[in-house]
Amino acid sequence: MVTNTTPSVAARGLTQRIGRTTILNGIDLQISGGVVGLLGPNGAGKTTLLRTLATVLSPASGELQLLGHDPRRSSERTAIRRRLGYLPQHLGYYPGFTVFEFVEYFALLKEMPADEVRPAVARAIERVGLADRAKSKLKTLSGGMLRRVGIAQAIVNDPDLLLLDEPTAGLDPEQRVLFRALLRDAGQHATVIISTHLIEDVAAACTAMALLDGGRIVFRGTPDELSQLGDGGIGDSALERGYTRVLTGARG
Amino acid sequence: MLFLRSRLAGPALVWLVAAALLAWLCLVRYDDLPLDLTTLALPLLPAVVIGVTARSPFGDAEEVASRPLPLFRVLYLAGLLVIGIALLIGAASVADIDLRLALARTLVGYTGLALLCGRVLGYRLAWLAPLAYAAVTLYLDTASRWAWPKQLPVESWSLFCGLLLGALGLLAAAQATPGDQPDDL
Amino acid sequence: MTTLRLVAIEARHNAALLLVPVILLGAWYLIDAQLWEPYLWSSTNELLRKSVVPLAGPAIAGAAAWIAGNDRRRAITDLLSTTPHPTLSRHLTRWFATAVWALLAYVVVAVYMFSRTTLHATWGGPEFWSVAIAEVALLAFAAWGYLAGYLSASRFTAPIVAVVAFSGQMFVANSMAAMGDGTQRSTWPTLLAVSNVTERSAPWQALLYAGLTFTAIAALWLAQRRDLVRGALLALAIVPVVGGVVMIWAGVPRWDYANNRLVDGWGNTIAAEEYTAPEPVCRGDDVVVCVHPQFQPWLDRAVLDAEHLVAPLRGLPGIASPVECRNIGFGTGRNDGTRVVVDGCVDQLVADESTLGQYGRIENEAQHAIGVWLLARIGGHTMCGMSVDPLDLGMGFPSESACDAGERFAVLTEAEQRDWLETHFADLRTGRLTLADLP
Repeated sequence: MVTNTTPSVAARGLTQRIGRTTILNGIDLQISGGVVGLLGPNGAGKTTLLRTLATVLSPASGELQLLGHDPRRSSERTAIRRRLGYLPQHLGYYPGFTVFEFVEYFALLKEMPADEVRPAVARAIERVGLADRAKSKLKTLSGGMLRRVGIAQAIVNDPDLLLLDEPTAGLDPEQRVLFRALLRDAGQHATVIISTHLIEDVAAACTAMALLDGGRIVFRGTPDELSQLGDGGIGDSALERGYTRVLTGARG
Repeated sequence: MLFLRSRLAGPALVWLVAAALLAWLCLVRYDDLPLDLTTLALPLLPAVVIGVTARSPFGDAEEVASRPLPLFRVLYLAGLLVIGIALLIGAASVADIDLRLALARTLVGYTGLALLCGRVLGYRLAWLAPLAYAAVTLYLDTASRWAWPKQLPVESWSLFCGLLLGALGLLAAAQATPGDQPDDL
Repeated sequence: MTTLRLVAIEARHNAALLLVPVILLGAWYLIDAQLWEPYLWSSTNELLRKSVVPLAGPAIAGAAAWIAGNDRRRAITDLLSTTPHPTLSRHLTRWFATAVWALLAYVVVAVYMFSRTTLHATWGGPEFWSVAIAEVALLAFAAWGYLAGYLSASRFTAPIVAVVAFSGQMFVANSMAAMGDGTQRSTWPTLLAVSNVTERSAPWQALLYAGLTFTAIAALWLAQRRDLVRGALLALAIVPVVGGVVMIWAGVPRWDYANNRLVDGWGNTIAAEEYTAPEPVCRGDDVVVCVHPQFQPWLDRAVLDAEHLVAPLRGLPGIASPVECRNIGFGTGRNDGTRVVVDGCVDQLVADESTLGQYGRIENEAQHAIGVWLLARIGGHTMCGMSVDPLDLGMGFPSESACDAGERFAVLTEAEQRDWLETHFADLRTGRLTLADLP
């Protein structure tokens, strides 16, 4: 039964493998609302974790509950997906689709009520600042605009769980500022998890964060708490110094 | 070698061999099939295989290369075509020389059609033109000038058509740059 | 509603759109090349069956194979898998959105051909059932193409699927299979090709193609996840395919030599189908011409040609009054319109029935020579120079000597021709003359 206090994400001993390689090694995670940042070096397992939370991958072992449902069960997985928004790291798209059609397509696939689709699509496109390009074909858009289209399809159904993998890749500084505002707004009503390399995004928008390295969570807390661990670390900001210090410590 | 790998030359060769085997099977097993249908259909598969390998997966990065890529493209496609012809003629060794020559002529012509079509519609749809042409020719009178793919024996007109289309197709493919290729649906 | 909108979005951005002009252009060319006067429903129906699907079917199979692999090529499968919409439903939507373009193109061609024919034809009608079967067959082509593309997103899949579909159906349509006892070659495998659909086998062909469609869909479902239910559905889907093939095989009549009867595949006697010819339409006073009602628009021209043909023979022995010209035929002519073929009438004029050969045509060279003269004077096709094989003498092909004799006869004056005919016509008809007897 799902209640208001049910965590959006509850993982215990979550393990994920690709072939013989263990990508996620016993992840314990509980998230209930807010904007949570996932930081970590390349190959740490951030994308794999997000793909697992997005129900793209089924956990190799461990327990996982998303929005109070078990994603291993088909009917519950469907229920999760109706309330899920996901932006993958590499956004595939159909070049001939327009911005509106692409977002509408995913709104329909998310089984939104038919009469709510078009207004929701218009709102989503507006929120990412692409209202003037709604009828443009995707193949005519820049990389940053395509990223914003990807964000639009992720938020079109006002998801309760929003997973964004490298959402600000390709966005200019102005767009990143707008995006952080969008994140903070979304975090009021939903659980947002973003995976990013950009520490300043985490600092500006996240209420909590986790640091992954080698498939394990090596830090869990707030950005301020990470910053306070920065003594002796390398970096231009307190958060960066905290980041490098924690990684160094985790690697022995 | 890397150029060949980017065009999937290896799998293309495998399919050319498979097409030749299928042709051999048809000629041996179904020896009572009308010759004009045999001439029309057997070269289709190798032609479309060659046609779809013309596509470059690299996009703009290849366009600014300093190497003479048009020459690479022509040599590669012509080489595949020669191999395809050799395999098809070899598979048709059970048949007489007229049929073998006709198969070679039709293969050259179809390949040209595929390359021309690929230039216009994108090389992933390169198969459409030779297929459509074969399907229409199926119902034409063999004496019609448009029915050159199924005319036996090979005479000057049909040979001219096949060679002309082949040459135009190779030229079009050589000149094509990634920017010329329409975005795929 | 959601499904309809998804179909609309998928259809708008579908590679199969590019097929529509190709199919229409190919069909238009074939129609222009083959559908000439006289416009007959029999010709139109046959052309529609035989010419459009061999192009549209393989093309849509290739397009569907291409479309099916799009998600993997576009790296969008992850994102799609996070949506709640059932995966099979999504694939079916896309498959149908692809197939619908071929279905529409075929309907457009059918409507055009039916419209063109209905303006001129006076007998018969369109075979809507063969259009329906063709549409089901196109769905099957698209389904199998889609399955192939789903299983392999390689750039070679689409072209190979298209060519295999084209070549496969072409070879099947032209195949023959020996019966088990080796005494009779059965044509039943040819009925598996959609271009050879017949009214008798139509229900089983429809079953076959519908079964093929369901089999491909069931296989697609099974490919997404293997479980018993999906496997059972695939097995069930194969049943109509097998059933269709068996019933087509069984329905083809074959001769039972031991019992001297026509039987089906189960050994049941089949009554020979009696073709009841429609009441012919007749016209003319001195020369009466009767034709199949579908040729009624050209009957006046046939009567005129027949009257010109008979004119120099009036009053001669053996020429009745009125003359009923039998076996009038009509040939197609792209630029010249319908040709009236009076060869059959020539034979009955210059020869007694008892002198006609085994094929019902004249064999005597003197009769051929006069026949050549009669045809040439009305601008008919004499068949001179068409064949040098002596065996063709009884098939309507005159020898070179007979043609020369006919040309010599044509040079005579009308009075000389009449004189000779009055003297020799009776002997000519009974086959007693040779070329040496001609002037």
